Amino acid sequence: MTSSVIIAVLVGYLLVLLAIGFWSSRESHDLKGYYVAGKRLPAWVIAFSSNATGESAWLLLGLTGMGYAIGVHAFWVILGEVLGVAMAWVFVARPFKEYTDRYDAITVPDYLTARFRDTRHVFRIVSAVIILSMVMAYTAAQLTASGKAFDSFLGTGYTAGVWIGLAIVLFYTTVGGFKAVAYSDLLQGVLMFACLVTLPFVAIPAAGGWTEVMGALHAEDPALLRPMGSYGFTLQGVLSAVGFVGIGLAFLGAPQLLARFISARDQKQIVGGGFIAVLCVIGFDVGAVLSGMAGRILFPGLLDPETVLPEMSASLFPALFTGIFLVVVLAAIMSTVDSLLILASAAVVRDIVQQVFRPEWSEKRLSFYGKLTTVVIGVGAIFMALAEVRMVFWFVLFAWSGLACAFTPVVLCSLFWKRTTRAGAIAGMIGGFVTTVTWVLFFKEGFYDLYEMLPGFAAGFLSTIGVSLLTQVPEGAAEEFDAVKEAVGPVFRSPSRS
Amino acid sequence: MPLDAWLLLFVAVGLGLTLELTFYMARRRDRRTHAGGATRGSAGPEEAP
Repeated sequence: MTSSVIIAVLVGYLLVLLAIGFWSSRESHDLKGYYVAGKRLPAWVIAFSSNATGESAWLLLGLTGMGYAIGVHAFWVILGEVLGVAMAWVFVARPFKEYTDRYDAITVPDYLTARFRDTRHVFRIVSAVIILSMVMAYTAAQLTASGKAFDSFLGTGYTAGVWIGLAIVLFYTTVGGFKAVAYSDLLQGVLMFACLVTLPFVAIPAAGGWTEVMGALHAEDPALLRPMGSYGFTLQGVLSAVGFVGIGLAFLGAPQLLARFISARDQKQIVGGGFIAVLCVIGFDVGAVLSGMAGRILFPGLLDPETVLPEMSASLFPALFTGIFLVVVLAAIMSTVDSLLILASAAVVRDIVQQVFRPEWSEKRLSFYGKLTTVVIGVGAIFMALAEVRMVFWFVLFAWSGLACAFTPVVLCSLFWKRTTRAGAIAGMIGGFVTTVTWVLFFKEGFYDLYEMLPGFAAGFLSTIGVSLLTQVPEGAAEEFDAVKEAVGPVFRSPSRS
Repeated sequence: MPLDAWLLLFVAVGLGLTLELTFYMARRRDRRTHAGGATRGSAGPEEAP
């Protein structure tokens, strides 16, 4: 009975996803439709899509596990993510949208190529290499989580769970393109929000109430209620807190998130969307951390803290809600995988095939190859997922920072520093990415496990600024920079008009 | 929960929310002020009817 209810909920959810794929299919026959939904998405969709894409299964399993393991110290993650999302929508989104509309750009490499007059396609090639390598790792990690979720909730076996998860995502992504991805993200984001906001209101009373939960946590280990955690106010404690805040920096310029700003109908959607996105990420993060803290009292001594959410959903709720929680975990996984597949497909077909080798091909033909590439990348990632079963969240955080460090410093400099040059931007991309990889491989352990986002960002900014100061700004770029600034206007006050 | 933990939680939530609210109110004020008569930006909030 219980299992049949869970299966019914799951099947209902998967049918809705398939319906979204069919509903969106009419607009996926050209590249602009397939990769950015024809730039016609409203505020609600881009806001939830951006957050659902950014958070992934890490939010549900990783951040609840963090609340369980380190308590209040995980509030630093909330600070970083809320601030990162707010700054992205307030400062980055409108000038980026203005530029990409002027260039008719549909990808981040499109934007960089036009912004720096890159006739040699260096941005496209470097971007494709970085995006493909990181997307493979990131997608493999999400598929691993999918296999574990299907197996633990339905007993499908790990391998079957991986294939089922990928098959569903590939169907609606290839049939419906970015529109299906964005609207399924909206559905998935709403489900994630509803569950994470509800969970603490059920878990904390179940653990005896707020005062009892805090008292029990204090009795077990007072460090669980200290902002600096077990490290105290030491160098290691500060680096740990700064590293947690750094997780949110990726929202300022990761290409899978910038694609949401490109796909917005106009800048008006960005004003409304930002407010929704910030409220959404607050609900996500506060709900996840507080649930994890309550989970520590309800389920003491879990060997793997990242299983606290499935434990709570199975113990505190009836079967129908357990099914919904399974759907929410899958939603978090799928909303990230679909966006990554579209991102990687665009990097290959739009940025390399169309712009470098085959500009004469028809939109319909390119769209077909876009869908084919989506399938190939998905299947490629599955082999990584089948081989690397154990390393889910290590891969997620690594790929998240690799993409962010390659693109964010360069995008921010290109939007806000007139003196940025083509050579500087290329150096920044390569510097940020290489530093992230080498930090993880060679230096991280020796520097208190400092999260790779911070050295990656520092290297990206320093390379961009340093090389830009030694080279020439592309012709016309400075005038265009002023024109965009004038068109967008000030952030917090009304522009003066003549 | 100790006071410093509450403080961190309020700062974590409040900083980004205040930033976004300030931006949102400014853009809404701008739209109301210039409703109907603006020509700035490609399709910005200032162009709303």
